[in-house]
Amino acid sequence: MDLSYLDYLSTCGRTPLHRAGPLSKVLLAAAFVASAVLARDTRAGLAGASLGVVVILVAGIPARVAAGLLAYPAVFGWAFSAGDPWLGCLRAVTAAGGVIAVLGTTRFSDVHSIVAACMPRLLADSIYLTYRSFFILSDEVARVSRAVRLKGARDLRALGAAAAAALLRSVDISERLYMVLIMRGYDETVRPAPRETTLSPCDAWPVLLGAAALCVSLML
Amino acid sequence: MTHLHIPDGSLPVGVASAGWAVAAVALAVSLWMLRARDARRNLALTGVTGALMLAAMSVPLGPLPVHLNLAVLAGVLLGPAMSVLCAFSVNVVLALVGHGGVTAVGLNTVLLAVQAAGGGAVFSLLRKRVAPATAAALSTAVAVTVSLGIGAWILGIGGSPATQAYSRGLAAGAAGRLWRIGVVAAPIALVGLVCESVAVGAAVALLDRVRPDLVGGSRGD
Repeated sequence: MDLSYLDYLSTCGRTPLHRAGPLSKVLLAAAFVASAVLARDTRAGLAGASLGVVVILVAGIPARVAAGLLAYPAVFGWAFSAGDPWLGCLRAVTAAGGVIAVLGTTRFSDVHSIVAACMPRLLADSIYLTYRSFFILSDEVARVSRAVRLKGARDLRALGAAAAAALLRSVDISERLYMVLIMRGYDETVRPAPRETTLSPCDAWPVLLGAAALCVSLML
Repeated sequence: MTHLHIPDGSLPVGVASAGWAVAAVALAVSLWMLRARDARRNLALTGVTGALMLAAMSVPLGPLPVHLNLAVLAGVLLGPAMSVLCAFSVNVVLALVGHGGVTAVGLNTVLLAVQAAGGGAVFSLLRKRVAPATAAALSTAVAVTVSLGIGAWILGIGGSPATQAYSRGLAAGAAGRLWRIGVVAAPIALVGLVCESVAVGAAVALLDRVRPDLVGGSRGD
């Protein structure tokens, strides 16, 4: 999973999509998913998938990383399509392109601010802490995996024990995280970042790309 | 295991919507169960457990095309209600990186929640009779088997009219050929099931020795 790299890109990228507001980008992702669902034949699928690739490149995600990220849904889209496997593959690339582009250009705190407005706060906070904890934990898991490899233990029991060791560290981390939240004035909710309600010229990019994706599915 | 990596546009709208509806009901029931508890105190643990599940899912089991989920471990640690929230959070993050579509989040939440909440419930029943590690391994085997069954049903093996229509589509497509090599798929699923059971059993055994309060049900529902 290239979650760490996408998170890095979302904060350090300098493309027009990075400057666009989170709401317009969430709408972009929704438009690409709708486009994937609505694509009726290979021609519409191909146009949608091309836009999916374009939006990923506009988001500044390097082609090699983009290929890796899109290959996964493409393979499963081919395998699990009801009907033409190539249409399934193209639909998968269309939707994944839109969603990955949004994650690669939007800070997760901004995504959280949109998510928190649409669902119960406990649920939105759970998603936010899962995402943030992944980065805390991934270093720990890498350290434990290295230790297991160096000790030559490769059986499942060792793997389970290593997972448990990582889990024990996770529990410590979670308890520390809770204390940090309390010390920083946590009042039983993770406050979402203030949502931008005004549109900027940069919002034209996601709006146009989203509209184009919907148009190719509806008109082709 | 039993996480459907189905991207957007592959599932019929009816099946995906039904998955979202069932997941919404499960989440509403979980939130209702948590209303009187100090659930936010366990929120940090929920986030970290979800992150551990994500980390486990990103490590393939050698050459086999399966990975661990550790969903039952989440059920043991968090209890049924909180583990459903954890399952949903994990699936949302996975969908954001293209591992399963946004439209499949509902179905995937149902599958993971069945493992987490169901496995956690079976564990709390068994742990009074057998050692925690054995209880964890057995509850994982039961929960993953049930979840696999639901996953197979969703994919159209003798399911509802909607999934039967999907099944006909699958049979005509590439996945139909994949299903016909079920002789290969079934043993892989079995190996994955054994791996998940052994790993969760070993994890719970260690936790029971080092932090018995975590597997003692103090955080359960």
